Amino acid sequence: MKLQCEREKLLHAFQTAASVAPARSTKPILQNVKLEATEAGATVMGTDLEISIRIEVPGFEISAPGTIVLPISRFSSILRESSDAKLSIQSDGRSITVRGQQSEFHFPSENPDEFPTVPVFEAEKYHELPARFFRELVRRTVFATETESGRYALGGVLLELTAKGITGVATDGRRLARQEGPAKSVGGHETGDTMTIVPVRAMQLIERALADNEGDIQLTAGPNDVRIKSGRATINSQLVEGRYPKWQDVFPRREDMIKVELAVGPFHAAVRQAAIVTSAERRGVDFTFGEGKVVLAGHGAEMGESHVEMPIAYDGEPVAITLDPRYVADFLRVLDPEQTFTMELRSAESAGVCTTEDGYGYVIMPLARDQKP
Amino acid sequence: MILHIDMDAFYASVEELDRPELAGRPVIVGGDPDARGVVSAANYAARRFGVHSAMPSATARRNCPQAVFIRPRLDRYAEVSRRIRGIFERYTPLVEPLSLDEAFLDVRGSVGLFGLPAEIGRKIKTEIRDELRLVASVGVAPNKFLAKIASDLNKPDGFVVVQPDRAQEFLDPLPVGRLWGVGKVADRSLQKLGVRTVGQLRRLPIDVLRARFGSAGRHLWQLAHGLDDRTVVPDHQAKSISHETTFAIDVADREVLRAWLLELTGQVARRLRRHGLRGRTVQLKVRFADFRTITRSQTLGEPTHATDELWQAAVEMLTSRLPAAHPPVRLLGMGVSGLDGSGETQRPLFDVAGQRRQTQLDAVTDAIQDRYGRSAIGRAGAMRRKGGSEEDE
Repeated sequence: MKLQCEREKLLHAFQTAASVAPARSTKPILQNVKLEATEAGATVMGTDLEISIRIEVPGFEISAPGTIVLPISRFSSILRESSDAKLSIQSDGRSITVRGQQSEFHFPSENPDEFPTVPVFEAEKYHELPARFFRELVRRTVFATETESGRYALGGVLLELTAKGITGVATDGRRLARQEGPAKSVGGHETGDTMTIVPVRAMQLIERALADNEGDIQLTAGPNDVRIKSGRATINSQLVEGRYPKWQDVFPRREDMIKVELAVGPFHAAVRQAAIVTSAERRGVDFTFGEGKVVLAGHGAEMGESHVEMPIAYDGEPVAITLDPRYVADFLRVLDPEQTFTMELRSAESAGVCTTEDGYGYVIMPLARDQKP
Repeated sequence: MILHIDMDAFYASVEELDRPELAGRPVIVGGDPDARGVVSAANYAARRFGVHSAMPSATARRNCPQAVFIRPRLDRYAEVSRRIRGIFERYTPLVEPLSLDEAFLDVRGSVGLFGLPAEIGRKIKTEIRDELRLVASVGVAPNKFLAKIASDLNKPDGFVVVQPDRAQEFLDPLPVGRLWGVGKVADRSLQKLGVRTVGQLRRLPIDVLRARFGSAGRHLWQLAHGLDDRTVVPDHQAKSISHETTFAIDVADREVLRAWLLELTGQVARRLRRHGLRGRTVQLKVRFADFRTITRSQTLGEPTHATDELWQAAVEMLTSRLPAAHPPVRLLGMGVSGLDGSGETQRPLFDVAGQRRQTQLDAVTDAIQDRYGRSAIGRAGAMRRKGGSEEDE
């Protein structure tokens, strides 16, 4: 194999592929990125056997096609430290030579045949949706997942794909985030009864790989894995096994709930202020909506007390609820501060429901306080 | 100064008290000898026949066929225990109960009001005898470790004071087996080193102990020097709440261990609820016959005081997180830390475990036990295999 590459372009793709590699593994081959050069172009690949990525890299001049594996730490250091615009890479099957204008590196290489197969996107049935929207879906859901408990299904984002669109759901059992939106089903692709639960790590990798894509992505779900193509990159991930809870049931019937329209920026500021005196011991902030204002009160025992008011367009019967301010802030943080959202409440015992006009919903369960004996 | 107060043959003594016709006869409190029951406690008349707690009831009956077998009445013992505690609290609020029949008291702040620590110890012993007609052994010493050894030294009806400047003199002649945690195996291992007394142990370099006993070596070295800096922690200030029980004979049967663990878990959960606390981390402690001690812990998603949630975590550790093959068990303990007294709980979105029903069940159980005593209601698993709960030694 013999070729010449543009260093900056290869560096970017190589680092993304390398980010999938496991930090420690019993299979040393996984600590490499595979580089495949054909007449059609060059592709880099990385995998940890659960998640894999392949990225086509532009800017290669291929004089002799071939396949090699590049050791991640050494080769990424070369790419980073070099100041050359172009580097040439050559391999005789046993060792690799990298040459810049005034530098040259030789290192042994492992057998590329040992590298696991990294799948390509060949599906005929898939969903197509704007990359920008999918990025938003990832950002608005992953924070609500639960990666530490034994409930593995909650360690991923549930994707439901229908004829009309896509829904992403994440929950840790205390609050739940749901983003829905339109997506085009090609060839009648739907998830149906299959639980398509995508691990958080794969979702984050997808978000990163989509960063500069302003076009569409294609997404296809099988019984055991999900595959996404975004421009030059294809990502494949095993699904999280397990039953996802019946998430639709947590959205309460909302006819008898009070409805308050709130501006994200000011409300976020009020929540942050009220939370100043809360602690791990006393986390709760009391939210009282009524008489044209919302009052936020924190009681942090020895930490002190807080009282923050904010005008709102609601002067009906007052409704109070105690919420963990961290969960409220998690929701507000992923919204545009200029935006507004609707909060619906029934009582101190039942869930609060927050919704935006762009298909985002967030259900948050209140804190209960023991009755004093 | 610290007081360690330990009731003599507590369960059996309460039975003798309530049934005067038993006086002078061997009394064994425990589970059914025909159903793999275990001895919870034996009075001194029965102990003379080699009967001791955690022994299978069937063996106890073989050793001492003339003994009177009694099913434990934990409700009654708990009631008496509360009255004993009432006596302690006349002298100090710093009472750390270890079980129904044993407690540490820190009396340093009480000296101005009630006299010297030894006098306080005497008064408590006398009041327990006069008001409850029960016998306590009392140890008075500069720290918990010495106080516990002192109360045990002249049991029954013991009263031993260790003055701070005479701790070494007190410890040195004692056999090493008296030290906390030194079981038969460690004892043999020390004897091979030519060590029989605490004084001989004290003269061994710490490195030798470390090489032989690992991290426990340092602990042994400190004990041999009479050092122990643990404070007396009353329940309401505790960073963790735990119960443990030492078996007089080592237990290999997993079902028996499960039954004890369920009892310990119930007691810990109830103490949490009584103090309005919830715990986030559940800990299991197991000491094997060879003196190795392991702890396992599991952190829950939300702090809880629900018996069932604590039990799920505890039994999971007992069944799947101990070494596959291990020696019999000498001590079993269950504790909860990461305590949260805020009274705040996060409501769940999905009531998968039926948590709300469990909470109601606990409240009803507590109410029944408060009113009718602890054995009025309980979990079927704890009743089947074993007689009682705490060690009565």
